[in-house]
Order: sequence, then structure tokens, then C-alpha cells
Amino acid sequence: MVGKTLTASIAALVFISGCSTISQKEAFESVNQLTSEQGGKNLQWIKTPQEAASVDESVKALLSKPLTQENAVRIMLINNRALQQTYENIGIAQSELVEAGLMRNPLLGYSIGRSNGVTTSTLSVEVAFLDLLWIPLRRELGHLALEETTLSVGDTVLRSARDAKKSYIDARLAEEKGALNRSILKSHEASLQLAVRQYTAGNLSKRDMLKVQESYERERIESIKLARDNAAAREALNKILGLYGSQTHYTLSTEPLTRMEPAVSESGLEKRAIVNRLDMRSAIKSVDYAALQAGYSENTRLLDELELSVESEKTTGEKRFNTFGIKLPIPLFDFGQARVSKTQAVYNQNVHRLYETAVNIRSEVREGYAHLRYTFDIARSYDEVVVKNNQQILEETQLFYNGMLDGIYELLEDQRRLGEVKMEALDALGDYQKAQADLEYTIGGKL
Amino acid sequence: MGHDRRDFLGLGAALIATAALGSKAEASEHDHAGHESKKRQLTLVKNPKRVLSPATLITPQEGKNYNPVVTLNGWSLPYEMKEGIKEFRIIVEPVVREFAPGMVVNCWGYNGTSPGPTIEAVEGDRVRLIVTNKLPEHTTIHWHGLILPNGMDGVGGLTQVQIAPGETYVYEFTLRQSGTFMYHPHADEMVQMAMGCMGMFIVHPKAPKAHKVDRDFCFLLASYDVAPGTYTPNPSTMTEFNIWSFNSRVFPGIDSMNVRVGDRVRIRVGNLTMTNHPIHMHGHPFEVTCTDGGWVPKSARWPEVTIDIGVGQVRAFEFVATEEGDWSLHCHKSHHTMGPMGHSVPNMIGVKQDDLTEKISDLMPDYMYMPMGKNGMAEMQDMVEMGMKIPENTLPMMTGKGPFGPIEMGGMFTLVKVRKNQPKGDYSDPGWYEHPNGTVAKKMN
Ligand SMILES: [Cu+2]
Repeated sequence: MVGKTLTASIAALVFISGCSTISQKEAFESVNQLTSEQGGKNLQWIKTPQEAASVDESVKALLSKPLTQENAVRIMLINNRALQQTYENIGIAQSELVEAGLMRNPLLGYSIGRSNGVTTSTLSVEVAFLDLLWIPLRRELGHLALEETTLSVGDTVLRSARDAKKSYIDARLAEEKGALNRSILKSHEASLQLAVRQYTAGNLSKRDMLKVQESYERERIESIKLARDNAAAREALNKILGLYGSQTHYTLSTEPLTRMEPAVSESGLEKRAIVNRLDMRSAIKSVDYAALQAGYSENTRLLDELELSVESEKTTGEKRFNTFGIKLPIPLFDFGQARVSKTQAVYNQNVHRLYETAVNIRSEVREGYAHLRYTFDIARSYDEVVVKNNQQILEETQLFYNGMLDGIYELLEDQRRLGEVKMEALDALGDYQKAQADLEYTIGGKL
Repeated sequence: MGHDRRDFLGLGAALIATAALGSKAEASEHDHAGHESKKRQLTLVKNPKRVLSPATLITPQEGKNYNPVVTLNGWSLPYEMKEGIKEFRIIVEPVVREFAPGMVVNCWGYNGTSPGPTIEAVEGDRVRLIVTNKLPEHTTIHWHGLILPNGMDGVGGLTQVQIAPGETYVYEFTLRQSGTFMYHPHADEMVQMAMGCMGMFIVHPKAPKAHKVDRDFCFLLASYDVAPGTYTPNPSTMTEFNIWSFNSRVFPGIDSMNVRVGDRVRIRVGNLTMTNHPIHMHGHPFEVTCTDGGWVPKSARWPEVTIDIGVGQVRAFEFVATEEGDWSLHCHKSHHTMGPMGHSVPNMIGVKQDDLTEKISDLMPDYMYMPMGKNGMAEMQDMVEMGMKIPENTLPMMTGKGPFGPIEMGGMFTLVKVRKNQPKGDYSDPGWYEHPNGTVAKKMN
């Protein structure tokens, strides 16, 4: 009879605690949703060799054509193993949620004593009974933790997308600067060839020829440095895209980097950031969690170790004797107040952290906007004034050369200067684009 | 006197209206027409007077007791008789001078041009010169070489108070000698002469027969530093001038001296540059007959084909035009027969460059690059011929085209054209000389 009751109770507990948890797939899908505005669509969580193979296929396809910034981000989202590691946080949180829904296992005791031919056997079951009451609370906490994890994973996704964009821009800049530098080097080379010939013909002193040679050599060093920078930038991109081996032989797109004038003011951006930023939302969840935790501690401060027990004793030749018992902790030493005040402190901490995060994010938005605005102005000045100016200077120098008012060296020098200014303009454009990637992350959406 | 100044200015402007630069044909005393179109024009004061490229205007001789001079690309200043005094009105002012088609310069000058009009009078005349200053700074006029009362000598601070902007001063004296003289400021003269303030002052002998010639030409040597692509001379330049001119005109934009076979010809040259100029004439030996000190006695004259004209000097030389043809007359300093040239242009004589052409052209795809200087600078002329553009308002280093090809001359260069059938008193250009058969150097087989 008692056995029956016990079995039924335990079955009920198992049932209650096992049901209605979110699957990992669902949780991951919500990350996908959260990040979709910023290109996070089609995230892939590699869990099996088949999935790994399919990711490889996708990466291969994306790398088969010149790599654009958008595709670079796509590759990173599915192929970056650091990101995959954070995806596993969802698995961990989800498992914890399942665990939270389970009741503590009952303790089964059995003892046997023998004296004077009399055997007394005792079978006991102890159940931390109150746990049953706390399960919904614990599950709520677990849900919050999973949500918080999901948000924080989403934030990592966006952060990584931003970093991938910036790495891509750096790689593009390094490559394009290399190309511009090749024409500068070629121009130096032409100067040097002329100088050597002038020297050989007896028209130029050795000293002046050496000076031309020295400038050429310095430019050659400059071009080596640029090649070094290019290699480094490309490796940074490879790393963030998770590429190795033959995958690294991709070419970068040559589509021009664009420059769009930012909106006149940053109004509205702060608000958007507060609403959209996933780390902000994750911080809010932390506060909820801490609040719940504090309540939980408060409610259970005295009773969380309440235990019910059933003992069934059978002594040889006697009737079975059943005892029902209850164990209650006596709050003599520990009133639970320490646990309560700790969770309250943790809660307070979380509230302060939330405020801090909000203040920081608002400031980041303003700074990011200012940075975008100024880098845009610089990039535009370069494009529309400085590069054009130098183009005109070169055109005028060409006229001076035509009139034998200037020599070939001046002509080549101004041609090089135009190249150098174009490199500076490229840097300025890259700064602008990186500022844009930063600000988009900062406001948690597209500009 | 059929022409007054206003007519002249109108004619001058009309003449240049047909030139490459011209736009509006009408011109008034304050003519701003001409070049404003797209071209930048730096002006030193508001509304500079612009009289562009005046061609030589021959003053009619009727009623004159002297044979007037012909000022290359210039003119003589009219006067009025006032109670027996010849009264000339002179305005010192900013002007725009066209040095050659394609180049105008912001100058300072007199009565609308730089150099100013030639003042012509006769020995014994009493002259009154009424000078109005329209420059942005004070000035004076010094009558270079003339014997006159000390207080009329025009040295600011020393013999008179400077003429402030807007003021009018009167100089009056009697011409006690005949010969070739000049006028120029003696106040901030470095700037004012570098900007083109100068003119000739011819005093004809009292006896019309004395020193009589059939043709009498005059011009001033003037140098300027007008940086390529600019319009205003740099008045602080001391040696590195780049425009060398006869009467602020540059070959081929300058009048030739056209004479008839048998004419006795006088050429009067004044030097207001900062260096001497050995003026050389082809075809005829000549004799120096007059300096700013007066006439050279016949017994002291000696034959020459080149006469070095020192700084601040005047030389007049004479010859009888016996040899038909187009004869060069130029400064013998070769840089002075050239347009502006870069001082630091690398020496490419004998340096092979053609194989680098592709490389350099690649670097500047929109530019038609040509290597220059390997065989000398004559290819400059080819480039000009090919229509290669040079900076705005800048003359090519070499230019001028003759019947046999490029003349490769600019600057202080012009021609004396001697023709059998050039009518007396006709100064118009007879065109290129047609050489009789067998009188032109030819290629040997
Ligand atoms: Cu000279």
C-alpha cells in the first residue's frame, strides 16, 4: 500500500518536473531572430559532422567569388569557432533549465538489525518534499537564465559581425593601398632610371643621382611595409572568418567602398540603442533574475530543508510498523538572513549595472555618432577637395612640363603625390566605414 | 591731326578684337573688354585701363616741322598749344598690356599703355607736362637725359614733393637740346619700373634738315618677371626675369620695321631693364649716331653690327637700307630671345628617354606625355605646333614661325624688312620676303 503511494508520488514528481522546457533549437532560432537585422540570418550551429560538412560547403561557395563585406560576415557567422563556443552556452543554459525542473531525488534507506534471533529491518524513503513547491520558481529562474544567455549570445554574434566587418575593411584597405603604392613605386623607378641615365650621360652629379636612388629605395621599403601590413590584415580576416588552408586563397571584391552622409543628428539613436542593444536587454534579464532569486531566498529561508519521510519497520514475528516523519531545520544558528541579504546585494548590484550599462551605451552612441560624422567629413574632404586638388595640381604641372617650365622629375613627383593623397583618402574612407560598423553595433541596428 | 587719343584707343582695341583673345570690339577710355571671360585677372586697383595690343599708329605728318618717330606697337602723345606752350597731359595709372596674343600683364603705365606714349617735341619748345597720379602710391616723373631746371628733374624727395595718389603736378621747361630721351618715375622706382612705368621722349632738332632720316623708329627694352600662370610682374625680382621685351611686346607679337630700299633708317633704343643688351642687326652694318647725351659727331662714329646698350642708356643707330630681305634684329643674349623657361629643368641632352615613355604614360593615362630635351630644346616648338597646352597666360619658350618653318625665337626679337617697292612713308607690313631664285641656302645633294 505504502509502496504504491510512494511510487505514484514519485511518478507524479517526475512528470511535473520533466515537462515543458524549451529546446536548444528554439533558443538558437531566437538568436537568429535577434540578430537578423544586422545580417545574423542563417546562423548555423555546428553540432554534427554532417553540419560541419554543410558549413564547409557554404563557405566554399561564398569564397568562390570575390569576397564582399556581406559575405565575409556570413562566413564568420557560420564558420567562426569562437562563436560556435558561445552557441554552446545556449546548450548549457538549456540543460540547466531542464535540471531546474527536476525534483531532488528521494533518499531510499534500508537498515537491518539482528539480536537474539530477532531481525528488525527498516525501509525508509525521505523526500525533500518542499522542493516540489520550489520547482516552478526554479524553472522560472532557469527560463530567465536561458533568455539572458540567448541575448548575450546574440550580442556576441553582433559584436563578432562588427569585428568581421572591420577586419574586412582593413584587408580591403591594405590591398588597395598596395595597388596605389605600386604606381608610386613605378614612378620612383622611372625617376631613378632617368637619373642614372642623366648621370651616365654626364648631366647629373653623382650626389643628385644618389638622392634620387635613396628616395626610390625608401619607397621600396614603404612598399614592403605595406605588403607586410596587407599580410597581417588578411590573416586577421582569415582568423575571424575561421579560414585555413586552401580556403585562404580567396580574392577580395573590388567594388568601391561607399560613403553615405550620416543623418543630420543623432536624435533617436540613443533610444534605439537602449531598446535594441542585446547586452542591454541581457542586463535587464539579469536584474529580473536577481529579483526572482532574492524572492526565492526570502521564501525558502527557513523551510527549504523541510523533509518528509516514511519509515516501514518489520521485526521478526511482529506486525509491520509504519512511521511518518517530518524534519524541520531549527533556525537557531542560521536564520537564512545571510543568504537573503546576499541575494539582495546581488540584486542591487545588477540594478546598478543596468544603469551603468544604459549610461555607457548612451555615451557610446553619442561618441560613435560624432566619430562617424567627423570621419565622414574628413573622408569627404579628401575625396572632394584634397584628391581633386592634387589632380588639378598634376594637370597644371603637366602644362608646366609642356612649357619646359618644369622638368620630368617635378611631373613624376606630383604624380606620386596624387597617389599618396589617394592612399590617405582611402584610409579616411576606411575610418568612416569602420565608424559606421561600430555605430551600427552600438545602436543595435542598421543606420 | 586727324587722330586724337580717343580715336586711337578705339582703333587699337578694334585691331586686337580680331586677335585670338578679343571679345568685345568696342572700347572706350575705360575699356574693360577683352579678356574677362573665363580668365582670372588680378587687378591692383579697381578698373585698370585696358588697351590691348595697340598696333603702331602713324601720326600724320602734315603741319609738322619734324619727321615723327614710329614707336613699335605704340603711339605719340598728342598735345595742345597753349599760349605758345606745348601742353601734354599725362596720367600715371594701372593698365593691362597685351605682350603677345595669349598673354596679358597687369602693368602700371601712362595714358592707358605701358610703355607710355612717346612724347615728341622740337628743340627750343617750351613744354608743359601735366601729370596726374592714378596709381595706388605716390610717384614722380624724371625726364631722363634732358637739361632742365633742377626743380623739374622729378626726383621725389630731392627736387620735389612726391605726387600723391589723385594729385596732379605740372612740369614746365624749355627743351634745350635735341636727341633721344626717356621718362620714368623716380619714386619707388624699383616697383614702378618693374611694373612698366616708362616711355620715350624724342626731341627733334630745330632745323628740320639736321640729322634727317627717312624712317625713324624707337622702342624701349623692358624686362618683367611674370611667373608662369600669373598676370602680375613680381616687382622684387632682381635678376631672374623671364619676359624680355621690345616696348613690352614679345616676338612674334611685335611690329616689324618695314623700310624701302635706299631709306636712311634710324633705330632708337632705350634700356630700362636691369641688365645690358647687345642689340644685333643682320644684313647691314650701322653707326651709332646718338645717345641720351646727344648726337655723336660724325668723325667719332664707327661701324658696328651689334651695339651693347647699358642699363639706363639710350643708343640710336643709323644705316642705309641697301640689302633687300627680312633681317633679324635682336638682343644677342640668347636667353633674351626666349619666353619663360624653368630654371631647374633637368639637362636631358643625350639622355635616352623614349623607352620610358610608356611607363610614364601608364602613370598618367589622361596625359599625352612626351619626353623632352634629349636632342636640345627645339622640340619645344614641335610641342607647341602639336597644340600642347601650357599654363594660362604664359608664352611658349620658343615660338615664331617664318616662311621656312619655326623661327624658335621669342622675347627681344623683331625684323627689319627691306623692300624695293615699299612706298615712302608706308609702314605697313609687306609680308615675307620672296627670295630671288638661287639666293636661298639649300640642301647639298
Ligand atoms: Cu638682352
